[in-house]
Amino acid sequence: MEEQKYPFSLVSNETRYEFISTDGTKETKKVVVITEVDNNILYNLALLDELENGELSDVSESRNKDMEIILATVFQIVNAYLEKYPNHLLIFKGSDKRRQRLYRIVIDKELGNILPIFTIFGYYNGQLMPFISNEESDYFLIKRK
Amino acid sequence: MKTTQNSEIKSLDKERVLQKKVNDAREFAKKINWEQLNAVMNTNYPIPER
Repeated sequence: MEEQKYPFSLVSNETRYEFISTDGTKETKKVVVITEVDNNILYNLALLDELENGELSDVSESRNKDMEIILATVFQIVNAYLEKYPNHLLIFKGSDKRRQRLYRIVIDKELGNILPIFTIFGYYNGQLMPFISNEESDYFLIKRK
Repeated sequence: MKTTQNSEIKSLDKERVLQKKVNDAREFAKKINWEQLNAVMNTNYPIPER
């Protein structure tokens, strides 16, 4: 190939997972998007709903009463992703204080299952520290040990 | 061509929530002190050039 070529670059480096949340009568499509944000190491994890019009939302409430199943599924996705990319560091936060608090509570509850495989940190008032059960953080960071 | 452009704009519009989250994460990433991160997390990540 000796022809002239235009330079190109990968604009968006992201991985998407999808699953269906249901209460038995209605279904909600959940989308987990992992996007590179810095240093080819730091990746943001976003949990979103895909609405009927195709729009992604981080504030909609499906009210399927399956939050624990959803978060367990997201944890499986994190596990699968970091197994494939063990050098990546995932960061995530809730879309509001209530969700961020919920994530903290779930992490705290599952800490016994998380810590043998993962290292989890929080960003507390500008300081990166190991996860603290009763402290609100700006972001959570998780990586494989 | 016009249809394609409209389609792309519509598609991007539907993902604006995701784009905002990624932008927020990039802003957060700027605050990260990678030397501190390596020390605290016991890692050896390369230090990005700013």
